Amino acid sequence: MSGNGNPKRLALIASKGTLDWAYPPFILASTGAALEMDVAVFFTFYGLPLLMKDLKAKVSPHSNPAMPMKMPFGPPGFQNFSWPIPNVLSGNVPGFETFATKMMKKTFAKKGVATIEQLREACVESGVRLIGCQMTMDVFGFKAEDFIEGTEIGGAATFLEFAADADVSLFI
Amino acid sequence: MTDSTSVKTAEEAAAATSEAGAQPSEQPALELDCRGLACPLPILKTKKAMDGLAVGQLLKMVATDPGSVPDVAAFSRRTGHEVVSQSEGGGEFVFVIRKV
Repeated sequence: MSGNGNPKRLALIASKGTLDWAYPPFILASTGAALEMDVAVFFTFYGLPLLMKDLKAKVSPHSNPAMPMKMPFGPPGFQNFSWPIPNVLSGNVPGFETFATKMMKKTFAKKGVATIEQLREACVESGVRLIGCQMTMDVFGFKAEDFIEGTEIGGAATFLEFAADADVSLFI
Repeated sequence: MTDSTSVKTAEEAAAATSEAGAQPSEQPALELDCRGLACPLPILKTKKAMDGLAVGQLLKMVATDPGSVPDVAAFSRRTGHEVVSQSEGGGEFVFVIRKV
């Protein structure tokens, strides 16, 4: 497959379900597949909802105290300005998450960044193995039919069997 | 920006590439516009486009993401495809990649 011999193997664990943290596993998985690597992503705990048909990932400033707040409109100087919104405010004002999510989606779209749905679709199309954690399903009450087509259900051993021969393994 | 009249058949492209190196007259079989797109979209779209080409055919890809310069190089090293030419001007990066 690759110019350097056997296909390389990329094993990722996606453990976080916010909009910002949904990006790294889907970017790396889709790009790994584009680089003709064999890729598997294990979605566990808060990462599991990223496989749901109806993706509802939001960004939470609460757990990202260093997150810059940017405005998706106005002149470049205004857009590049990081708004000094205190964490105590961003974490406690009702509706702030919805607001921050809207702002992030708009900013990303303006900068030509793919949506999570697009990247996830690219993963499915390119044959990335998307493994949903059975235990997390049981704990949070998800059903197999909640997830997108092609989702494989498995446990730690299913992931580790693949990861044991991986060239790159990342916990995200 | 794809010009359908410039699309070659696989046979024509293969014949053109039977001679060593890039021929100046050689036309890309496909043109891909990745302007305005951020990482990793230029690479994902390039991969998809390369998959649709026959061995020996050329893809011309235009991007505005400066990160596409090291990324296209890395993509080519990993997949084995050959960057035939690369140029920059007016904030745009133009790559011509041969399917290997």
